[in-house]
Amino acid sequence: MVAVLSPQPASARISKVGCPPVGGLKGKRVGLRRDRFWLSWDWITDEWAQLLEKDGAEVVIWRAPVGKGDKEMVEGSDEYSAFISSIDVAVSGLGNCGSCTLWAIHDAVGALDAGLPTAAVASEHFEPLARMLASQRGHDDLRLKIMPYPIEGKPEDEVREIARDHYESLLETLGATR
Amino acid sequence: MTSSLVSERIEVPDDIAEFSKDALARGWSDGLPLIPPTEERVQAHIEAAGLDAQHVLGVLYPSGVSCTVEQLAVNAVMAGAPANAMPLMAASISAIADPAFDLAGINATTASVVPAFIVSGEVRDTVGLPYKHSAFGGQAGPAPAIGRALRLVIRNVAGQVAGLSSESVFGQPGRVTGIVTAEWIEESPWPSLGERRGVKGDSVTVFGVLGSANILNSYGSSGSEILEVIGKSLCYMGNNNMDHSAQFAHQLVSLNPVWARIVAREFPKMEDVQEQLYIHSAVPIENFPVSLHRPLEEANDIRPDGKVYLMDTPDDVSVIVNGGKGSLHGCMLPAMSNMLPVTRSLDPATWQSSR
Amino acid sequence: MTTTGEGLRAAIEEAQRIISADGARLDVIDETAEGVCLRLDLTDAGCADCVLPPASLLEVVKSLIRRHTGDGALVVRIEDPRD
Repeated sequence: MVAVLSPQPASARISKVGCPPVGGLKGKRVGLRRDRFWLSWDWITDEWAQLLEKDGAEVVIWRAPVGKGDKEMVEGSDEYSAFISSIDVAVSGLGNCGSCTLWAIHDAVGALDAGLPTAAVASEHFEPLARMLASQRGHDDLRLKIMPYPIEGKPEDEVREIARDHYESLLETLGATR
Repeated sequence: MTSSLVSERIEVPDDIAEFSKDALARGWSDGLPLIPPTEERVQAHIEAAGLDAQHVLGVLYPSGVSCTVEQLAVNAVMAGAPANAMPLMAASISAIADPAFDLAGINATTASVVPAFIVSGEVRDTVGLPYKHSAFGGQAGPAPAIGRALRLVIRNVAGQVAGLSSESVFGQPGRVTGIVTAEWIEESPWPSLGERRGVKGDSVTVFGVLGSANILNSYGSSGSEILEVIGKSLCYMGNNNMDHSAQFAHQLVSLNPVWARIVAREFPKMEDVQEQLYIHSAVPIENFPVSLHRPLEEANDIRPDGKVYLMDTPDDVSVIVNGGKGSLHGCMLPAMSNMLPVTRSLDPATWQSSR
Repeated sequence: MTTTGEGLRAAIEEAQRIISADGARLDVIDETAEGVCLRLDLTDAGCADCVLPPASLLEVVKSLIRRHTGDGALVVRIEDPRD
């Protein structure tokens, strides 16, 4: 017998895939997941959609339903499955409260488990929760874009400017190139 | 100088045949015989790399693991790759880890894509890479083992496993020994590929390709004719980038030295060579099955002249010179769609992701 | 505290930091060798629905306690006014 070095690092033996980078943006369909709680998130995603399209991506926006009951939850799941099967990249937000962070991370993990390059977006105040929820789902490495807090309640012009200022950082979080 | 190594130590049979069986059972192997990666052998490879053992070459996918020089060295020893190829292999791993290359997509896709490594510079002779007869395979030398080392990294560190993390329907032979070749720059009328892509000296350029295919033109009377035959060969209907779902791709073509001289007499500038390939790699929409007309139209793939073009612009093809002087043939390496080639100098100080 | 005290305290403090972002609070009502009972106070919460839903909150707290105490057998209950 002889002692050899393993060619596989321990962390390569995980069953879940890592969080892949987007790579080139041009030609990719980027899905932006909106919720129904934060007007600021609508403005932010609108700005990012314009910038992504300027960089050659095609943008698809999906608004998650508010799941009050089983029927809405099932319909929401079906809609979401259809959404992520139509895109190449997922950006899921906005984690700006306990429960909406839960759902933003839930949907981000759904996209990641489907093999999509994915980033979740949360405001700074909810970053610890977002990371914990991702970790609980086995995705310590979920790409997380952090936005300033508070963001809701600011004037539209100001929110849109914040969105533009954070666009490069979004691309970096996603591992996206032009 | 010995480095501090962090890989798990495992007791295995020291007989090569028994170790190879054991490694296959552990999921380390491609099925071919392997050399046991003892600490002594791995240390020698690390020293030859000229980098610290824990230097991170890049993050590889689908596993998301940061591949270190040590991990490369272990897999290189197993593959039988020579230690003096470590700088080349390190640069190659850095290149495939670049986000522009989209390794995650390559390793998961249903297509039969594999990274092809084109080497420029004097490292060709230092390592002993093929560039004359049988430049893409069949020449006895270290290239198959070097390619295999990189493939084992993709298996063992990046985590690409057929049927599990890789959906490739057919795979291809290049997924075992890789595609590793060098330019015959002395026979090329144009600057080296590396230099044209902005890197002088020793470099490696990686392309995502769907294998290699021979192009025969036994007449070869002129540069125009040769390039027309190659262009029309490139745009075979099943080329990934002829599909309505593809957005862009970068093709690779090799001219043998005799053809290179004929082509350069008529087209001394590489830009004009690329232009010819671009013009000729187009198919009239009438040639496509009727069921594909609408998808191609909706994807804006039908140009005003009624043709579907393989390339967006002439820049979407690279041409190198290698192969034997028997002439008659060119080689095309059709591209995987939605990804770009990446060039790395063999000098680690220059490695940065392209953005 | 009588049950892996420091770990439990650290877990509850971390849980508190997470839910305080929504204005909620967790108070310890009872603690035994077998586990801990907490009460969720939403008095100062801007919106009750914004706080983690009951089942998720319980999972998050259990996970934190497991991480900080190393004891996965501790029983955790939360009195949640939304239930």
